[in-house]
Amino acid sequence: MKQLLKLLLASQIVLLVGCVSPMVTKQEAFPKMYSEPPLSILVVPAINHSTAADAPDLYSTTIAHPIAEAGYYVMPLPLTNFLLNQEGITDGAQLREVDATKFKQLFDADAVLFVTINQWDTNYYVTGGNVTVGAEFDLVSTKTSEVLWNYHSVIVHNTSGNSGNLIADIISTAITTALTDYVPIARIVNATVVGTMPVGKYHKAHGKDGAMQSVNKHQSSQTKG
Amino acid sequence: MKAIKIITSSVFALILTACAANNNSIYYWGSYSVTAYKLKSEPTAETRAKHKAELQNIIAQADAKNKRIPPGIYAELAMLEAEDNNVSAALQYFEQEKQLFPESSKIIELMQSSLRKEVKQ
Repeated sequence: MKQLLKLLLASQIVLLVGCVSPMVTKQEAFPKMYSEPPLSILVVPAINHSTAADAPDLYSTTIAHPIAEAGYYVMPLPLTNFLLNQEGITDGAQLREVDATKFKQLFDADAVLFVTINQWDTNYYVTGGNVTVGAEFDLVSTKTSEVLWNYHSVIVHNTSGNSGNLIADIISTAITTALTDYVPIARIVNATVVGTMPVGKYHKAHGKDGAMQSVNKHQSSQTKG
Repeated sequence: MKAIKIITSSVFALILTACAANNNSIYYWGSYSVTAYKLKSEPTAETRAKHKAELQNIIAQADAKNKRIPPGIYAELAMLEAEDNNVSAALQYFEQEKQLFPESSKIIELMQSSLRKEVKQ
Protein backbone atom coordinates (compact mmCIF):
# COMPACT_ATOMS: atom_id res chain seq x y z
CA MET A 1 0.00 0.00 0.00
CA LYS A 2 2.76 2.38 1.01
CA GLN A 3 4.61 1.57 -2.17
CA LEU A 4 1.56 2.24 -4.20
CA LEU A 5 1.25 5.64 -2.55
CA LYS A 6 4.88 6.37 -3.26
CA LEU A 7 4.38 5.38 -6.86
CA LEU A 8 1.35 7.63 -7.11
CA LEU A 9 3.23 10.51 -5.58
CA ALA A 10 6.16 10.00 -7.91
CA SER A 11 3.92 9.93 -10.95
CA GLN A 12 2.24 13.10 -9.77
CA ILE A 13 5.58 14.82 -9.55
CA VAL A 14 6.39 13.65 -13.06
CA LEU A 15 3.05 15.03 -14.22
CA LEU A 16 3.68 18.36 -12.55
CA VAL A 17 7.11 18.68 -14.11
CA GLY A 18 5.61 17.76 -17.47
CA CYS A 19 3.07 20.53 -17.07
CA VAL A 20 5.54 23.32 -16.37
CA SER A 21 4.56 25.99 -18.82
CA PRO A 22 7.09 27.04 -21.43
CA MET A 23 5.68 30.56 -21.15
CA VAL A 24 7.72 33.29 -19.50
CA THR A 25 7.10 37.02 -19.09
CA LYS A 26 8.37 39.64 -21.50
CA GLN A 27 10.47 41.19 -18.74
CA GLU A 28 12.13 37.86 -17.89
CA ALA A 29 12.77 37.05 -21.54
CA PHE A 30 13.93 40.44 -22.81
CA PRO A 31 15.19 42.58 -19.90
CA LYS A 32 17.27 44.79 -22.21
CA MET A 33 14.11 45.97 -23.97
CA TYR A 34 13.16 47.58 -20.64
CA SER A 35 16.54 48.83 -19.46
CA GLU A 36 17.39 50.30 -22.86
CA PRO A 37 14.09 50.78 -24.73
CA PRO A 38 14.57 51.69 -28.39
CA LEU A 39 12.29 54.31 -29.99
CA SER A 40 13.08 53.86 -33.66
CA ILE A 41 13.70 50.67 -35.58
CA LEU A 42 15.48 50.26 -38.89
CA VAL A 43 14.15 47.23 -40.76
CA VAL A 44 16.82 46.03 -43.16
CA PRO A 45 16.02 43.87 -46.22
CA ALA A 46 15.11 40.35 -45.13
CA ILE A 47 17.74 37.63 -45.24
CA ASN A 48 16.43 34.86 -47.47
CA HIS A 49 17.12 31.23 -46.60
CA SER A 50 14.06 29.99 -48.45
CA THR A 51 13.96 28.78 -52.05
CA ALA A 52 11.66 31.61 -53.19
CA ALA A 53 13.63 34.49 -54.69
CA ASP A 54 10.78 36.99 -54.35
CA ALA A 55 10.11 36.22 -50.67
CA PRO A 56 12.05 39.18 -49.16
CA ASP A 57 10.41 41.73 -51.46
CA LEU A 58 6.88 40.50 -50.81
CA TYR A 59 7.59 40.03 -47.13
CA SER A 60 8.80 43.63 -46.84
CA THR A 61 5.25 44.91 -47.44
CA THR A 62 4.00 43.18 -44.27
CA ILE A 63 6.45 44.20 -41.55
CA ALA A 64 6.07 47.97 -41.02
CA HIS A 65 2.45 47.68 -39.84
CA PRO A 66 2.91 45.31 -36.85
CA ILE A 67 6.11 47.02 -35.65
CA ALA A 68 4.44 50.45 -35.83
CA GLU A 69 1.35 49.17 -33.99
CA ALA A 70 3.71 47.79 -31.33
CA GLY A 71 4.57 51.43 -30.62
CA TYR A 72 7.84 51.92 -32.51
CA TYR A 73 8.86 54.39 -35.16
CA VAL A 74 9.71 52.26 -38.18
CA MET A 75 12.21 53.96 -40.47
CA PRO A 76 10.27 54.19 -43.77
CA LEU A 77 11.23 51.17 -45.87
CA PRO A 78 11.23 52.93 -49.27
CA LEU A 79 13.74 55.43 -47.83
CA THR A 80 16.01 52.95 -46.10
CA ASN A 81 15.94 50.62 -49.12
CA PHE A 82 16.82 53.57 -51.38
CA LEU A 83 19.70 54.72 -49.18
CA LEU A 84 21.03 51.18 -48.68
CA ASN A 85 20.72 50.52 -52.42
CA GLN A 86 22.95 53.50 -53.10
CA GLU A 87 25.57 51.73 -51.00
CA GLY A 88 25.08 48.54 -53.01
CA ILE A 89 23.19 46.75 -50.26
CA THR A 90 20.10 44.76 -51.24
CA ASP A 91 20.31 41.84 -48.84
CA GLY A 92 20.24 42.06 -45.05
CA ALA A 93 22.91 39.35 -44.89
CA GLN A 94 25.40 41.96 -46.14
CA LEU A 95 24.68 43.99 -43.00
CA ARG A 96 24.82 41.24 -40.41
CA GLU A 97 28.57 41.66 -39.93
CA VAL A 98 28.46 45.47 -40.00
CA ASP A 99 29.07 47.21 -36.68
CA ALA A 100 25.52 48.03 -35.52
CA THR A 101 26.58 51.42 -34.10
CA LYS A 102 27.00 52.58 -37.73
CA PHE A 103 23.20 52.63 -38.05
CA LYS A 104 22.99 55.08 -35.19
CA GLN A 105 25.43 57.40 -36.95
CA LEU A 106 23.87 57.04 -40.40
CA PHE A 107 20.14 56.92 -39.72
CA ASP A 108 19.83 57.72 -36.01
CA ALA A 109 18.04 54.39 -35.55
CA ASP A 110 18.03 52.97 -32.01
CA ALA A 111 17.83 49.36 -33.14
CA VAL A 112 18.10 47.28 -36.31
CA LEU A 113 15.65 44.50 -37.09
CA PHE A 114 17.01 41.53 -39.02
CA VAL A 115 14.37 39.16 -40.36
CA THR A 116 15.56 35.82 -41.68
CA ILE A 117 13.04 34.00 -43.85
CA ASN A 118 13.69 30.32 -43.27
CA GLN A 119 10.68 28.89 -45.09
CA TRP A 120 8.36 30.19 -47.80
CA ASP A 121 7.10 26.97 -49.31
CA THR A 122 4.16 25.26 -50.87
CA ASN A 123 3.90 21.53 -50.23
CA TYR A 124 1.63 19.08 -52.02
CA TYR A 125 0.70 15.63 -50.81
CA VAL A 126 -1.63 13.17 -52.45
CA THR A 127 -4.49 14.13 -50.18
CA GLY A 128 -3.38 17.46 -48.88
CA GLY A 129 -1.10 20.38 -49.01
CA ASN A 130 0.10 23.34 -47.06
CA VAL A 131 1.73 26.71 -47.32
CA THR A 132 4.52 27.25 -44.81
CA VAL A 133 6.15 30.49 -43.76
CA GLY A 134 8.89 30.46 -41.13
CA ALA A 135 10.95 33.39 -39.94
CA GLU A 136 13.40 34.43 -37.23
CA PHE A 137 13.66 37.97 -35.88
CA ASP A 138 16.67 39.63 -34.26
CA LEU A 139 16.51 43.15 -32.89
CA VAL A 140 20.02 44.53 -32.37
CA SER A 141 20.86 47.63 -30.33
CA THR A 142 22.81 50.33 -32.19
CA LYS A 143 24.23 51.50 -28.88
CA THR A 144 25.68 48.24 -27.58
CA SER A 145 25.42 45.91 -30.64
CA GLU A 146 23.68 43.42 -28.34
CA VAL A 147 20.61 41.44 -29.32
CA LEU A 148 17.65 43.01 -27.48
CA TRP A 149 14.98 40.64 -28.68
CA ASN A 150 14.94 37.39 -30.63
CA TYR A 151 12.03 35.21 -31.64
CA HIS A 152 11.16 32.68 -34.29
CA SER A 153 7.98 31.09 -35.54
CA VAL A 154 6.68 28.83 -38.27
CA ILE A 155 3.10 28.91 -39.48
CA VAL A 156 1.77 26.03 -41.54
CA HIS A 157 -1.44 26.82 -43.33
CA ASN A 158 -3.30 23.68 -44.27
CA THR A 159 -4.85 23.84 -47.71
CA SER A 160 -6.36 20.36 -47.83
CA GLY A 161 -9.91 19.94 -48.98
CA ASN A 162 -12.05 17.60 -46.90
CA SER A 163 -15.27 16.87 -48.69
CA GLY A 164 -14.80 13.14 -48.22
CA ASN A 165 -14.53 12.63 -51.96
CA LEU A 166 -10.90 11.77 -52.58
CA ILE A 167 -10.70 12.96 -56.22
CA ALA A 168 -12.52 16.20 -55.47
CA ASP A 169 -10.22 16.77 -52.49
CA ILE A 170 -7.07 16.26 -54.54
CA ILE A 171 -8.28 18.77 -57.11
CA SER A 172 -9.45 21.34 -54.58
CA THR A 173 -6.20 20.96 -52.62
CA ALA A 174 -4.17 21.69 -55.73
CA ILE A 175 -6.27 24.74 -56.49
CA THR A 176 -6.34 26.25 -52.99
CA THR A 177 -2.65 25.56 -52.39
CA ALA A 178 -1.74 27.31 -55.61
CA LEU A 179 -3.96 30.27 -54.86
CA THR A 180 -3.02 30.70 -51.25
CA ASP A 181 -0.88 33.71 -50.92
CA TYR A 182 2.14 33.67 -48.68
CA VAL A 183 1.46 37.17 -47.55
CA PRO A 184 -1.55 36.52 -45.26
CA ILE A 185 0.48 33.72 -43.66
CA ALA A 186 3.48 36.00 -43.27
CA ARG A 187 1.12 38.40 -41.47
CA ILE A 188 0.14 35.68 -39.01
CA VAL A 189 3.84 34.95 -38.40
CA ASN A 190 4.42 38.66 -37.77
CA ALA A 191 1.48 38.91 -35.39
CA THR A 192 2.63 35.87 -33.39
CA VAL A 193 6.21 37.04 -33.22
CA VAL A 194 5.68 40.77 -32.67
CA GLY A 195 3.18 39.91 -29.90
CA THR A 196 6.14 38.80 -27.78
CA MET A 197 7.97 42.10 -28.24
CA PRO A 198 7.76 44.59 -25.36
CA VAL A 199 5.81 47.57 -26.77
CA GLY A 200 7.37 50.94 -27.64
CA LYS A 201 6.66 54.52 -26.64
CA TYR A 202 3.70 55.16 -28.96
CA HIS A 203 1.80 52.26 -27.39
CA LYS A 204 -0.24 52.99 -24.28
CA ALA A 205 1.14 49.89 -22.51
CA HIS A 206 4.72 51.12 -22.94
CA GLY A 207 6.81 50.11 -19.93
CA LYS A 208 3.83 48.29 -18.39
CA ASP A 209 3.80 44.99 -20.24
CA GLY A 210 6.75 43.34 -18.46
CA ALA A 211 4.51 40.91 -16.57
CA MET A 212 2.76 39.67 -19.71
CA GLN A 213 3.34 35.97 -19.97
CA SER A 214 3.41 35.77 -23.74
CA VAL A 215 6.88 34.47 -24.54
CA ASN A 216 7.40 30.79 -25.30
CA LYS A 217 10.94 30.29 -24.10
CA HIS A 218 11.61 27.58 -26.68
CA GLN A 219 11.06 30.09 -29.47
CA SER A 220 13.70 32.58 -28.46
CA SER A 221 17.45 32.04 -28.47
CA GLN A 222 17.63 34.35 -25.45
CA THR A 223 15.54 32.16 -23.18
CA LYS A 224 16.52 28.69 -24.36
CA GLY A 225 18.22 27.00 -21.43
CA MET B 1 -35.07 28.36 -32.08
CA LYS B 2 -32.96 28.76 -28.96
CA ALA B 3 -29.98 27.38 -30.84
CA ILE B 4 -30.43 29.99 -33.56
CA LYS B 5 -30.56 32.72 -30.92
CA ILE B 6 -27.38 31.47 -29.34
CA ILE B 7 -25.65 31.29 -32.70
CA THR B 8 -26.71 34.78 -33.75
CA SER B 9 -25.72 36.29 -30.44
CA SER B 10 -22.34 34.61 -30.55
CA VAL B 11 -21.85 35.82 -34.10
CA PHE B 12 -22.69 39.33 -32.90
CA ALA B 13 -20.22 38.94 -30.06
CA LEU B 14 -17.57 37.90 -32.55
CA ILE B 15 -18.28 40.88 -34.78
CA LEU B 16 -18.15 43.19 -31.78
CA THR B 17 -14.83 41.76 -30.63
CA ALA B 18 -13.46 42.11 -34.14
CA CYS B 19 -14.47 45.78 -34.17
CA ALA B 20 -13.05 46.36 -30.71
CA ALA B 21 -9.74 44.81 -31.74
CA ASN B 22 -9.65 47.08 -34.74
CA ASN B 23 -10.34 50.14 -32.62
CA ASN B 24 -7.32 49.41 -30.46
CA SER B 25 -4.97 50.23 -33.29
CA ILE B 26 -2.90 53.39 -32.91
CA TYR B 27 -2.96 54.27 -36.61
CA TYR B 28 -5.34 54.40 -39.55
CA TRP B 29 -3.97 52.16 -42.31
CA GLY B 30 -6.85 52.13 -44.83
CA SER B 31 -6.01 49.41 -47.35
CA TYR B 32 -2.31 50.18 -47.21
CA SER B 33 -1.25 46.54 -46.98
CA VAL B 34 -3.29 45.57 -50.05
CA THR B 35 -2.11 48.39 -52.34
CA ALA B 36 1.51 48.15 -51.12
CA TYR B 37 1.57 44.43 -51.81
CA LYS B 38 0.01 44.82 -55.26
CA LEU B 39 2.58 47.46 -56.18
CA LYS B 40 5.44 45.20 -55.04
CA SER B 41 4.19 42.05 -56.72
CA GLU B 42 3.12 43.76 -59.96
CA PRO B 43 4.70 47.19 -60.42
CA THR B 44 2.64 48.94 -63.09
CA ALA B 45 1.44 52.52 -63.57
CA GLU B 46 -1.96 51.36 -62.35
CA THR B 47 -0.85 49.67 -59.11
CA ARG B 48 1.42 52.63 -58.43
CA ALA B 49 -1.41 55.15 -58.91
CA LYS B 50 -3.66 53.10 -56.63
CA HIS B 51 -1.06 52.95 -53.90
CA LYS B 52 -0.42 56.68 -54.14
CA ALA B 53 -4.15 57.39 -53.93
CA GLU B 54 -4.37 55.14 -50.86
CA LEU B 55 -1.53 57.03 -49.14
CA GLN B 56 -3.37 60.30 -49.79
CA ASN B 57 -6.60 58.74 -48.58
CA ILE B 58 -4.96 57.64 -45.30
CA ILE B 59 -3.72 61.18 -44.67
CA ALA B 60 -7.15 62.64 -45.46
CA GLN B 61 -9.15 60.10 -43.43
CA ALA B 62 -7.06 59.46 -40.31
CA ASP B 63 -8.47 62.40 -38.39
CA ALA B 64 -12.08 61.49 -39.08
CA LYS B 65 -11.32 57.92 -37.93
CA ASN B 66 -9.84 59.28 -34.71
CA LYS B 67 -6.52 57.67 -35.49
CA ARG B 68 -3.03 58.90 -36.16
CA ILE B 69 -1.29 58.84 -39.53
CA PRO B 70 1.11 55.84 -39.47
CA PRO B 71 4.89 56.20 -39.54
CA GLY B 72 6.25 56.37 -43.08
CA ILE B 73 3.06 57.34 -44.95
CA TYR B 74 4.18 60.93 -45.66
CA ALA B 75 7.70 59.68 -46.42
CA GLU B 76 6.44 57.10 -48.89
CA LEU B 77 4.27 59.69 -50.62
CA ALA B 78 7.31 61.99 -50.77
CA MET B 79 9.29 59.22 -52.50
CA LEU B 80 6.57 58.80 -55.14
CA GLU B 81 6.46 62.57 -55.75
CA ALA B 82 10.26 62.67 -56.01
CA GLU B 83 10.18 59.90 -58.62
CA ASP B 84 7.69 62.01 -60.58
CA ASN B 85 10.04 65.03 -60.32
CA ASN B 86 7.57 66.95 -58.14
CA VAL B 87 10.42 68.19 -55.99
CA SER B 88 8.59 70.82 -53.95
CA ALA B 89 5.75 68.42 -53.09
CA ALA B 90 8.31 65.77 -52.15
CA LEU B 91 10.23 68.17 -49.89
CA GLN B 92 6.99 69.25 -48.23
CA TYR B 93 5.84 65.68 -47.53
CA PHE B 94 9.27 64.82 -46.12
CA GLU B 95 8.93 67.82 -43.82
CA GLN B 96 5.56 66.56 -42.60
CA GLU B 97 6.98 63.13 -41.79
CA LYS B 98 9.66 64.82 -39.72
CA GLN B 99 7.14 66.95 -37.84
CA LEU B 100 4.92 63.98 -37.09
CA PHE B 101 7.80 61.73 -36.03
CA PRO B 102 10.92 63.58 -34.87
CA GLU B 103 12.74 60.21 -34.76
CA SER B 104 12.90 60.45 -38.55
CA SER B 105 14.82 63.76 -38.60
CA LYS B 106 18.18 62.36 -39.62
CA ILE B 107 16.97 60.06 -42.38
CA ILE B 108 14.55 62.68 -43.74
CA GLU B 109 17.32 65.29 -43.85
CA LEU B 110 19.47 62.80 -45.77
CA MET B 111 16.67 62.41 -48.33
CA GLN B 112 15.99 66.13 -48.55
CA SER B 113 19.62 67.03 -49.16
CA SER B 114 20.04 64.29 -51.79
CA LEU B 115 16.88 65.55 -53.50
CA ARG B 116 18.11 69.18 -53.48
CA LYS B 117 21.44 68.06 -54.93
CA GLU B 118 19.67 66.24 -57.76
CA VAL B 119 17.73 69.39 -58.63
CA LYS B 120 20.88 71.50 -58.83
CA GLN B 121 22.57 69.08 -61.26
